[in-house]
Amino acid sequence: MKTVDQITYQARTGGSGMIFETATSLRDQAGSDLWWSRLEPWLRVGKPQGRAYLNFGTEAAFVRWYADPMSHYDWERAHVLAGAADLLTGRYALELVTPDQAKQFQPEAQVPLSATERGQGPGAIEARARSADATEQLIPLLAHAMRGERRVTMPWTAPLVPEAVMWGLLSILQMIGDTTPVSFLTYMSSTRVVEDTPGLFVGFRPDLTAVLPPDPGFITLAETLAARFADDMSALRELLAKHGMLEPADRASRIKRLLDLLPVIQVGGGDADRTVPANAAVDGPGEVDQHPSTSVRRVRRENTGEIVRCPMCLHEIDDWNSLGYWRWDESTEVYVEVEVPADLNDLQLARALHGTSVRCPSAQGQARIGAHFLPADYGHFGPPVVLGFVGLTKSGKSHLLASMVGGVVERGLARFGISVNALDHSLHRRYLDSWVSPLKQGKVLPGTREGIVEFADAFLVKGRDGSERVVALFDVAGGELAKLDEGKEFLWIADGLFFVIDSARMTEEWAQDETFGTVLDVVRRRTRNNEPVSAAVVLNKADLLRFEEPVDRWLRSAEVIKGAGLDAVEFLRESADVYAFLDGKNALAMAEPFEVCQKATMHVVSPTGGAETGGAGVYPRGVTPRRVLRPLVAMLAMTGVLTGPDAEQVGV
Amino acid sequence: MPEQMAFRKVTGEPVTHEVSYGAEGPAGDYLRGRIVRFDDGIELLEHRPVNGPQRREAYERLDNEILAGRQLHELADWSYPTQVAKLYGDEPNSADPFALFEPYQGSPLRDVGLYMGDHEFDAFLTGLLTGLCWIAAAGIAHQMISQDTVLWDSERGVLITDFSRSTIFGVRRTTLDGYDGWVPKELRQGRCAGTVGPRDDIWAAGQLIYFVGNQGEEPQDRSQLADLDAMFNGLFDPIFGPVENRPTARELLEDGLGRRVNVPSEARRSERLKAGRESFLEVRTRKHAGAVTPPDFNADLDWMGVPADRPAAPANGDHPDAVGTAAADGASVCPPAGTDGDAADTTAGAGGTTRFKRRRGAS
Repeated sequence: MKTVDQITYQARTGGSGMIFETATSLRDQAGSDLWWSRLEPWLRVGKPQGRAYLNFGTEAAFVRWYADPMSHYDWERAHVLAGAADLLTGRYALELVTPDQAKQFQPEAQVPLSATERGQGPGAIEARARSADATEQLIPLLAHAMRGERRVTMPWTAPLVPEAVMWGLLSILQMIGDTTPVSFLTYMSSTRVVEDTPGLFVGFRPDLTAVLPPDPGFITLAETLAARFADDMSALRELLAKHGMLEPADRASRIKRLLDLLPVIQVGGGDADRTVPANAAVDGPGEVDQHPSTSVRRVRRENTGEIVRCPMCLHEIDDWNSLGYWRWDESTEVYVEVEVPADLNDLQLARALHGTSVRCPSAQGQARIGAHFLPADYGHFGPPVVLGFVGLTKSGKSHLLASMVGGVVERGLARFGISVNALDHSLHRRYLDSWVSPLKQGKVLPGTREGIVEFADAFLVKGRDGSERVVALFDVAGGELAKLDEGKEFLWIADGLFFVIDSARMTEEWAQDETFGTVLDVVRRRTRNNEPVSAAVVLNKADLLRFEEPVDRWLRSAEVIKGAGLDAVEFLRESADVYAFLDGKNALAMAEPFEVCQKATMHVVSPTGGAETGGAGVYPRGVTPRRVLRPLVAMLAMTGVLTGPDAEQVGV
Repeated sequence: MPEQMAFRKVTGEPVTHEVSYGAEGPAGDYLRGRIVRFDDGIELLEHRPVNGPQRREAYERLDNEILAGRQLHELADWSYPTQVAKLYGDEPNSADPFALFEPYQGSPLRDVGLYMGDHEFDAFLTGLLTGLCWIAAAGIAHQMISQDTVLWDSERGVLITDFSRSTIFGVRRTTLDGYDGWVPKELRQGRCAGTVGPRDDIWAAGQLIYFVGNQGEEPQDRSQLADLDAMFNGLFDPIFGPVENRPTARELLEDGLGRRVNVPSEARRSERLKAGRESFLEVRTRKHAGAVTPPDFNADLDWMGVPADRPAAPANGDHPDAVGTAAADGASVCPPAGTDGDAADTTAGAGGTTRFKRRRGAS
């Protein structure tokens, strides 16, 4: 039989001092130790004004803090309920009677460890949860939760409101079948974040005045659900159940079902004023202007009629200029919406929007991969050129990309008559700081994180003819590429792919790369649909083969012959030699992109100039990239960024 | 305390040995050499990069030595030429990389080249040019042939050492600083052009031949080449002309001295690369039916190309690219004017002229 245990802790000098357990109903020391290790960081950030419900997956804890009113310490005693998460639920915890405050401050008092009792039932908190104060906060919180955010910080407005908001949130999530674990702390005086609970964590801070605006598409859905919840909670539950809300097996499908049901939910309430078309709620850019929680003025430029496809979710954005502007905040490491005063002239407006991003408005996309942002200029220079890197884990994709970007920054493309500027300076700076600078210092880079599919960097590229195009670079963990599931949408719109071969695998035994096959399946399908993809096959880490013919010759050759500029014949020679080399190494399977992709080149590249040795995480020879820009130059020619007779011949 | 050394023989065989270190071997500014003595009694010469600000360049130089050694091994298989320093094994990718060679035998020609008899001189010519034939056949340009890097042992003959500045055919020429006296015009500062090929080492070889033949005198005027030119059947004078007109080592041996050369062709590497490209072109043609192969597609591999009508060596000092030009560059090139045709009978004359002591076709 599952039980809920109790633990009390004492902090004689407050949460920043020593904390020790004073009493517990737990019978074994191991259990006591386990809960101590889990709770200790949380105990330190709490206050008597708040309560914490911490869902660790199978187990959960509910924490309350107490302090002598005369004490100058933040708290002195804490009371914890701990037990199975399906028994000690968040809603259950919020309905509990608050222990007698006075009893907590009796000198050396022991907390009565009797069975806990439910309070007055959900009635009192339910009423508070359906109040106007709670509903106002519930709407953005629910929108964030449905979008799949993992950390949401809300303003603390008044006692008991956060608890009511959380009870409302948990109730609605339960109705829509969202089983994501939810934890919360209803009063956070510290900005310190404890990152050890799975699922969603909600914190309420008294120093905040507003919540980050959530996705516009989810706002309408949240408004509708909160309104129905406030009107009649039971009716909403029945309505959702009746329309099969709990039938889909996974969360994404349930969110989709919910979006489909939006018109039904709205009509079901009989409130005609709230009814909006479902599609407009999800995608309509006009909706963002109606968001009640933001005072941001949207800058509306004329719709050019040009559709921009989001490379992360494939959503077609048909009015790029209607999107709001966001800026990466270095201190909080989140995007914050940019407020643009209404009276700016064109120059001031350009200055204000410099370096900003826009958020893809697709609700479905955000439901799948979370909120995602694109540089604000991404849609301003015609169809962007999307380039991605394909190859196994440890094939050196990240080092190649970092060396490439490093070469671009050092104006290496100028020798080919190409000028380049960063498209999003904050994104670019982050990439330089995280990847390029450490590599230049001779440090071995970590692998690309699994599960993260986003821009690495993006540039505005201008060729000799003066035309400008946006070039976006994607880096994806090799393990992810071996399987085609969500998160690799860019493969379906990529204009060019760098197929990265790990030279360490050239052992003359039969070699292949399963990521190539997976990705080439997509390429074949796209080719059949007349969507050609260009390929640059890169024999990476070629320094490992520097004593072998013909790698030796190419590695010792200059990246560009002085005065020759873009020499299509030189690209053809290099391609032929790499092909012949792979043939000789029994690795022609890795040359398959050359045969499948319409235009293709092959290259000898060393992003570091030498191998890491000794596992020290550094390159003893220093980092001297060789020929890293040639695949990029070839790709720019093959994808039409560079023009002219020579460029047209590259890859043919 | 013996140290364990793990490395890879050129044949690919991994080796682990307990070693103790012996006397220092030849060392340079970039690579330090020392003798390592294995517990089975074998002694080898070890080259490692020196520490310090030049370490990055030192890594490159060690790579050059390893590349040359491996290429020569691949070419020679079991019949490794005695005229070239032999790489025994290497470990190029460790934090402290090294290469192991059979210990050099002989002394630099700077020290012993002055005292050769005619018979030795002939052996020197044959040994030097045979060694250069092997190097060229491996697709390597030594780029630092000089009185210091070529050793002579009266019993063993010539040994070409120090491949730390070497590179492979087909790469674009780069400036070699600091060795102007032995660096041809096309590799000097601001004059680099074209790609490295089998004629690149010949200029320095000609210098060295004159140096030894003239008992350590450096050539001052091209007229002094007449005897050597006659000895080489008219092929010696073009050595100091434009690189594309120079003879190869094989030509100097076969056509100049009339010797039979049993060394694989210099074109071997080029032909192998061209064959590899052919398979690529077939695939390309299948993919792009109308694709045309550019006429200069293999131009970068045509390092053997020689103008069909190599100009005859000028009779006396008026070669457009030789004596005067080179001397003006600060590089001594050719013997002084005014020497007679029979160098063996000449002696040092007044007025600073040098003598040429070798007979044509000496043996």
